[in-house]
Amino acid sequence: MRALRLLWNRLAGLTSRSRRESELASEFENHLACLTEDNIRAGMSADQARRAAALKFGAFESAKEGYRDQWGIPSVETVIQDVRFALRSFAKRPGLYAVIVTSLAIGIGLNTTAFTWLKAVYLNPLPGVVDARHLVSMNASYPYGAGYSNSFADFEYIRDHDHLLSGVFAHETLQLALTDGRSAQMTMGGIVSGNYFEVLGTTAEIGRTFRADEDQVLDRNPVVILSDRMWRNRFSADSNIAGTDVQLNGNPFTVIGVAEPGFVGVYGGIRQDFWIPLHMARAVDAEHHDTLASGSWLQIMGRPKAGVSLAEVRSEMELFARQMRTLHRKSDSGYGLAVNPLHQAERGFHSGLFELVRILGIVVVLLLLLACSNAASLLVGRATERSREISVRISLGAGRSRIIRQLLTESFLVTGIACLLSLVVVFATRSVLLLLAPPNLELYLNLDIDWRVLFFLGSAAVLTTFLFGLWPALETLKVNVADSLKEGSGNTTASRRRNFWRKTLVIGQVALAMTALFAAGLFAANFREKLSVARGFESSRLLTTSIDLVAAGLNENRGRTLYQQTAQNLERSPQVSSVAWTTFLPMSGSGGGNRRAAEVRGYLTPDGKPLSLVVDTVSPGYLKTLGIALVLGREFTWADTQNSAPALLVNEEFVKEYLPKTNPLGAQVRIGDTWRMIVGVHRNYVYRDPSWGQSPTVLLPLTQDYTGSAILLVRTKTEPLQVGSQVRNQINSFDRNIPIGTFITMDQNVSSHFAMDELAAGALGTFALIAAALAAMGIYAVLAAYMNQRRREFGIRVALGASPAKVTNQVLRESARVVIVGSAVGLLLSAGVGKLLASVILLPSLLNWRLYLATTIAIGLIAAPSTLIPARRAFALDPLVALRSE
Amino acid sequence: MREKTDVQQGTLALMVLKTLDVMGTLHGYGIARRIEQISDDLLAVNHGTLYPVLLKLEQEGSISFEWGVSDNNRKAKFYSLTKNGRKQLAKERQDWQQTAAIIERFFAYQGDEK
Repeated sequence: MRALRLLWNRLAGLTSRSRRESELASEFENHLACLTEDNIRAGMSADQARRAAALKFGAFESAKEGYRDQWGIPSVETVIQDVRFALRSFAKRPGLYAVIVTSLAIGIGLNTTAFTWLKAVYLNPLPGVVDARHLVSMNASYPYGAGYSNSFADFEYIRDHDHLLSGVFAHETLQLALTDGRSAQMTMGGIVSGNYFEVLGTTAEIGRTFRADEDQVLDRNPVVILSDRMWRNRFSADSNIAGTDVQLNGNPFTVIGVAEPGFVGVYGGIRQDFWIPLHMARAVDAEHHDTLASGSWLQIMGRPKAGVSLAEVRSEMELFARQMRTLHRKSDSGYGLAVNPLHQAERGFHSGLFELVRILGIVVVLLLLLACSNAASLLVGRATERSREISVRISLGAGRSRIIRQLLTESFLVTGIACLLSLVVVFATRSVLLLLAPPNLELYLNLDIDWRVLFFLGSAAVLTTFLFGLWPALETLKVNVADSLKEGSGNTTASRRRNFWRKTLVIGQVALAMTALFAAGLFAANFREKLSVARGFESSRLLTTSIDLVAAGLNENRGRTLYQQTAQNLERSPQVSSVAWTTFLPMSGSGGGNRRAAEVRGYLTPDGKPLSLVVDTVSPGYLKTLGIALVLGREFTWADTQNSAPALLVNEEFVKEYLPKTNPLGAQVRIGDTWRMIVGVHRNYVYRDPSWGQSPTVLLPLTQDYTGSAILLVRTKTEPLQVGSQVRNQINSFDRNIPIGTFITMDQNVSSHFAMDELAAGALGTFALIAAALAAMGIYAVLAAYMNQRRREFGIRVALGASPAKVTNQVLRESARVVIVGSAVGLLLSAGVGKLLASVILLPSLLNWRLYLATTIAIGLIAAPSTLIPARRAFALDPLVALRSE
Repeated sequence: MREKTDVQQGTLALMVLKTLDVMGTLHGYGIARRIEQISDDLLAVNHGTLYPVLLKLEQEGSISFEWGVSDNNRKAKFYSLTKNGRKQLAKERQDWQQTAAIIERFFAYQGDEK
């Protein structure tokens, strides 16, 4: 109790310092006066009395010290003193410390942002999933590419034969019209196998997840689980939701539960809001096909048992693929199963982002190192300025450890302020990653600032402090007390060792900045190159949206009428020049790429098996609307009906591959079961990505190959989005229930396709500029401090008759040598980085000498003023002043 | 160095408490004089060392003070014992007597005769 009160009073004693001091002084004064008076009464003279009183009282200061020690808490006191001292020291050089704090804040902040991104795609990408990092994905792979979907038969085979996985499930994303009795809304959801939630370890906050028997019989169990967000937003968090009905594409489904908060599915960044069993696939399929019986559209994932390695799972899946090729995959000679950890799964956004984050991670670490070396060199410069002050303090009896502690306090304070500022950087930059979302898709990434992020921030800060703070502190202590106290002293030249460190710092900064510039240049060039590749279609003034007729319950006949009427009515509008429908939007992320078995009359495949061709379905006017050039023949017309001869269009690549040296017009091609005649050949256009090669493609007429959902293309004469309401009215006037997707322009679509490249180029470009600015500042700081120290030497040399120009030249030569060495190291680093990035940028032709040359010149331009200005300033001084001044 | 001060402080604190117990209210100088008088000037302490002790006792709540004016018309703190202080004094007195008795017995002990 007593000890507690003591502690409390001592803590309280930390404040109210000056009042206490004055009270103590008056108490002492009274005591001395009393003593003196007693002495005088005892017969001493006034002088004697005062002297005796002072002796009796003892050392005044030591009594005060004893009192002070008792009064606060000494170690806390010192810290407070140190902090006050540091703040005073900041106030003396506000510009210098502002630069240090800002560059550290940027460095720490960007690192934390990069870490948050790493968390979002790797460390903790899927909230609500137990141990998500250990899930593996199994996609179909072919010699010509990986990341394909599997069939239900594939899933069943793996599920029934596997021994290495503790659970394996199938899932896919789908968008359906969800009606809650009031309004219909296109909603992204998942169609999943019955054990999905069980394997993921995801629970229901209301109701339950699927029972095993709910996913065994086709069409039997129309049950749905909602996401927490859907439940809150559209069902006002109704706690009696379980058992109520909702409609999905017009089919009634019973809600059996709500998934735990935060769970958004496992489709790499795509946010799902409901889940239904796989065996309900036919009910929600556009054409009510039994897609489980045929078709490959499933993603398979599993969780390896404890202690099972990825390699073991891979060899097991290799075996399964081989076995399946003798069973239901007989006609699919190239079929394989690619096993990847979650962060490298081919579907979704995580794997692409992971690559990007890895590169950005390297860059931000470089940036932080630059910021640290900057801060260090600026503080060392400050240390030189302060050597006299430190000498005075040491000679007055300050312990070296005490001084080190004080300097480190200063560093920690710098980092502390930088940390607070860095949070601003983190909040400003963390959502940049979401810009990658395609315009009609909501991307979900776990960008929360959680304990991991804060822990990272803290560790980065502590590490940073030692990195930049310790060396200046040690450097400060290396003062020679006697020398620096002598009147008008100061080293005439800098010490050799200190010079070595300075040079190393400058070399390091030049090299790092150069590497950052090089990487940025690489991505910028990559981006430009991709943009400049001829796309084969015209993207400006083109409006697109999608509709779903199956969801609205329209039959095929009504659908056909809608397609034709909408196109023809819209084309009459003065703002519209042409209109078309298609099943795939070039360069969009999803849909399309459907391969169908095909045969070209007169062409024999090397292995005698049928071809597998990319087939899309388009309406009349498609080529015209997209601006794709027709090479031979004609486009589809509304006259190509079910009653006329089956037609198709092919691209130039198709002709080159299968029908060289013949007239392709009139040639026969079988798609599925129907033999069709080529009526036209069009130019190749970029199907998905400019860096992919062209492959043969086929277009079928919508009038002969009906589809229940399609994408509308409107070529406009005005700003495309202005025509949106007109399009909406047109479709609504046909049927109010048809769900219409978001309106986006083709330009938006294309730029979202390049979003990843743009972000990489933009982010790296920004980082590189920051790095270059930091390096310029750093070089300047180091050289300025160096010149300052040598001012006296220069003064003497000029006084002795050396011409200022000659001395300047010598200094410049010295600096230039350092910058050149730095550039050489930078070139080596850049070459390494180039090699590292070669796999990511896909355009290795960029790794040429021009980029290296440009980077070197840029570094030269940055370094030149940083070298020249301090040199000039040193010589603007009168040698007499230089000699005199301290 | 520090330990030595602690021992001194402990003893000094006890003297301060007892002085205030007997004399009621005193200022710093008064306490110092009184301790000197009672110890017949055998105890030569620097008066300055008294003040940290006073502060500690104050922080522990054993003594309290009021500002007043001393004989020579100067502002001074007048210390007095609190209820807590009286309790503490009683306890320390007991402790002290016990310790003294034990030490006394050790000095009295001559060792076993053979």
